[in-house]
Amino acid sequence: MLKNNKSVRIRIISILTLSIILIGTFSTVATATTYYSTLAKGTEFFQVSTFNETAWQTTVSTNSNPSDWFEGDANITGAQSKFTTMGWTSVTWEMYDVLTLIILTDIDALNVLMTIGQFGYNETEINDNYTNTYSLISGIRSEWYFISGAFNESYNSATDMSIILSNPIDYKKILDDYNDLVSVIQADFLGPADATVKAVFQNMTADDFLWQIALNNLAMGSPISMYIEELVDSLGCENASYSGNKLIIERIGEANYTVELTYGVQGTLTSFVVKDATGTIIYQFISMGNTNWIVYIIVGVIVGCLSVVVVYIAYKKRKFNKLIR
Amino acid sequence: MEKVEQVFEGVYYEVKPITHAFVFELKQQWKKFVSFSILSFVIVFLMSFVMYALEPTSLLPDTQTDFLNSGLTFLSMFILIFAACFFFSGIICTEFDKKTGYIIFPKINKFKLIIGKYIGNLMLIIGVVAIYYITLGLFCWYYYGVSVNLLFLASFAIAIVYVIAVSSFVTLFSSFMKSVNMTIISTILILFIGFTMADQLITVFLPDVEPIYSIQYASNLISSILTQPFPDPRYTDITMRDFTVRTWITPTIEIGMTVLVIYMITSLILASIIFKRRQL
Repeated sequence: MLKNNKSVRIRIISILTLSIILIGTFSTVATATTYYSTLAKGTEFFQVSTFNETAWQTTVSTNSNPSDWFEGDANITGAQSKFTTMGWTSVTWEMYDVLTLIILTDIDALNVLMTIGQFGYNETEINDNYTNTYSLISGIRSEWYFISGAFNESYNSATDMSIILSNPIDYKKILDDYNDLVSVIQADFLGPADATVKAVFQNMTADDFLWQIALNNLAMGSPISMYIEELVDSLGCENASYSGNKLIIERIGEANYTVELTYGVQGTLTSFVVKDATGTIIYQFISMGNTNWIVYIIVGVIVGCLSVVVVYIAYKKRKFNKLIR
Repeated sequence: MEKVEQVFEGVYYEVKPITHAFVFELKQQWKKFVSFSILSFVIVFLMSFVMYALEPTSLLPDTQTDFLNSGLTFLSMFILIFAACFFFSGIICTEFDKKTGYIIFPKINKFKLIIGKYIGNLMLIIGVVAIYYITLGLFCWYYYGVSVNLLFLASFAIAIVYVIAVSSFVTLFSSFMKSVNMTIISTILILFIGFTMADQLITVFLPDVEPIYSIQYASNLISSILTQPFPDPRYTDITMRDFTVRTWITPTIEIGMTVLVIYMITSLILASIIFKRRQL
């Protein structure tokens, strides 16, 4: 009787403990307000599936092509690119890091920043004046640019990054701080010799900023649709919208056109589509995915074969033992 | 036609004892094979999956070649040597340890017995190497989306030649050693410590001399064959004050293969001579 009571008590305690753990887990998921990274190590392939050069020139620009936006043979249909996500780290950036790694990505602009460093716009001064810090996940990738033939063994860029700010509202803080810095610099460098500085440091609208980061290294935290929504809404973009995992940016070139960027389960870009006002696709590259599924199938087949062998051996052994008896 | 049939029949009766010994050896050593196969899989799994997939800050190598290189270095440095020592150490000495080598009129020719045993063990060890390569190749495919190329197969071929060379070397020791344990210990000591010490001494005193005598050095070819273009120069110089240390990375393909074949032939010839003399 005593034993029975004890076992019932143990069962009740076990069920209670399990329930507490499960309730805790699910309630944590349900009330999650922060975004998390879903980056995964591996290689993703892309292919240019559509490029209508005539439509591009009449709609986007007469004197540019997609290779001005993306490196390599991005203007050739069938060209492929790939990137390998090697890992990621959680880091905290200050304003100077943001300037050099997100906003002033052009080497000439960086040189100008270095030059004005001697006039009080160095790393220490800028970080002292703009004290916001940004926690983010920085994905480290090696990238092979678009190529119409076979990929080279070595990558084109080993320092490519995919950046996921922990809080998408931080993009608004970055833009505000940057525009404030620009106004200070514009006021400080008034002479005609300072034209280069003024040309580099110009006020940026939310739409321009979103376009710049979208073309470079923007990646999304998960849940992706919520992240995109919060990003666009907090920036206050006038010409950007969202639909699920899709970020839609309206732009004006030779005519109005739309750029649709779709983000996959890892939060990275999986499709880039340029459409004219009528919705006709002018340019498109899409992710060809990765080859992980092939490996899963092979491993599945190997495990299956091994299981069959083990079962067969066990069966033979049992049969043999029965015969002996 | 009858003559041809007779020749075939003759060959069949010559080869039959070897196949019997071969099959017997496979049955005898299958537990070792399973153990080494599991070990190979676990090592590749730990190095390629646990290390990278579970730790985000542990960065994948930049390219698939670097990834394969790091995996294959461990294979040539440890797995192949240990496997060769454990599989081949008893190939001859057990015959004398258990007195079967002294039988004057054996039912099976002793050389055919040894050949059958040698081929049996070799097949098992090649199986272990294949499992290592397949697992590594699958992980390479998983991370880099690149199927295996010809260089990877070339590396596998070199690994097999290396295995044959090391197994011949161990067989040579097995031919004059008294017990399996002594053979394992002495060959592991020579292959790990002996060659390494010789390489260090040569590096210090004769930096210009390439250590082509070393079977360990020749094994570097297994991973360096993947590097395109092939390393040139094949050494790195590190200068500290007035002292330059030259580290040789890899032999050329021709020299490496020649060294391995010389090891293989010399060891097998010596082993057969010693085995013959030991029976008398």
